[in-house]
Amino acid sequence: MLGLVGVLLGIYQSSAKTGGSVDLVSSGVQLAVRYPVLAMNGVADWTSDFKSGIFGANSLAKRNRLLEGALAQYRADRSAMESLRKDLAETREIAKLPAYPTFKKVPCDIVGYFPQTHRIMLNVGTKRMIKPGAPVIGAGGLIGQVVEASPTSCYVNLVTHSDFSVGARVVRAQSQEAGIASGQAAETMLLSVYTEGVAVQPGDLITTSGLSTVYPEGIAIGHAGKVWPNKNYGIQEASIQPVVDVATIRHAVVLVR
Amino acid sequence: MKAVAYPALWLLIVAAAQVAIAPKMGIFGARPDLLLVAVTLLSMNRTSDAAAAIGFFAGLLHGGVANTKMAAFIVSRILGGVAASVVGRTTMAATPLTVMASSLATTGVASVTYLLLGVPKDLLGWMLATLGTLVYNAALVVGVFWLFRKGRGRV
Repeated sequence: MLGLVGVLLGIYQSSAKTGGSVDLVSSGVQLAVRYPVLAMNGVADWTSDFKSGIFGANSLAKRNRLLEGALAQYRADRSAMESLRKDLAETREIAKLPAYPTFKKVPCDIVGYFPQTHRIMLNVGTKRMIKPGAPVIGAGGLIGQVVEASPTSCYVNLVTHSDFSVGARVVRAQSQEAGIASGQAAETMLLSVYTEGVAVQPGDLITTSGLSTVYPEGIAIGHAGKVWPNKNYGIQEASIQPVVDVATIRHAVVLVR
Repeated sequence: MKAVAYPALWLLIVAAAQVAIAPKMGIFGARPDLLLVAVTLLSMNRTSDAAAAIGFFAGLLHGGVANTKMAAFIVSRILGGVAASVVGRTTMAATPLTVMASSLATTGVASVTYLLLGVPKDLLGWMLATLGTLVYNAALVVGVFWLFRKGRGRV
C-alpha cells in the first residue's frame, strides 16, 4: 500500500518536473528542512573556515596575495575590455549582425549537493526571475543548467548529469573545433568533435561555443583528458575533466536573460 | 502520538543533515547515506509495518529534498526499513555487530532496489559508490548506536 502511494507520488513529481516546476509534496519537504539545512550549512562552513584558518593560515595568506594580484590585473584590463566590447557591438551593428545576448547575473548560495544524482540546489528561484534552462556558473567555469524552479529555490543538473549537453569549442592556437560536451553520470564528461583529424589533444581547454543562445560563448567547461577516434561515426571523442569541483564551492551565479 | 512524532522528527533532522553535511563527509570518494543510517536504527526492534512506515517517510524526505526519483527512493527505503526490522527481530540482542549487520541489510536492500528501479548510466561507478556507502553506513551506524544506546538498542 505504502509502495503504491510512493509510486503515485513519484508520478506526480515527474509530471511537475516535466513542466520545469517543483511539485507540492517536494516543496513541502524542502520547506520543512530549509532552516535546519541553512543552520547546518552555517555550522559546517564555520567549522571548515576555522580549521582552514588555524591549520592553513600560510596557504590562505599566499592565496590572498595571489588573488589581490589577480584583482589588480582584472581592474587594469576591465576598462580596455569595456572599450573593446563597445567597439565590437558597434561593428556588429554596422555589419547588421544580431547583438550578442546579454545576461543578468544572479549570485546565490549552493544549499544542497546531491552527488548521486549529479544535481545541486540553489537558494534562488522564480522570485528572482530564475527559470528552467538558465546556465549556472561559478569558480571560473560552467556548473550546469537550471532544470526546475520553485519560488525560493531551484535545482541544477550539473555538467556531469546524463541529461546535460552543451555546444563546446576546443581552445588551441591551431584548432578551434566545435563539438558537443555531454554529461555521462560520472566524474568526467564526453566531448564529441565532428572531425576525423587531430582536433583535440589532452590538456586542451574546452569552453562553450556560443553557437546556441542558451550559453554565452567562452565559459570554461573543462580540460580534455584521454582522446580517441570513434571510427563508427568518423568523429573524435575525448573525456573532459570539469573545471569546477562542485563539492568544494559554496556560491554560484545564475545567468538570466 | 509520541511513537510517530519521535521518528518523524529524527528523520526530518537527518534529512537536513543529508543535504547539508553528508556531501562534505566524503572519504576516498565514499559518502554516507544518513537517512539509511537513521532508517536502520529506527527500524530495528520495531514491527515490519512500523519499519515500512519509517522507510516510506525517509524515502519521501530523500526524494523530496533531491526533487528526483521519489518513487525509487520511497520503495527502496520501505524495503530497506523492513530488512532492518527483520534482522533486528531475528537477532538475540542489539550489539554493535547486529546493528552493523542490520545496516548492511538496509543499505544493501535499498541500494539494489533503487538500482532495479532505474539503472544508472555509469553502472561501475554507481556500484563502487554504493560499496563505499555500504561500508561507511555500517561504520557510522555503530558509532551512532554507541552514542544513543538505550535499553535494547532501540533509538
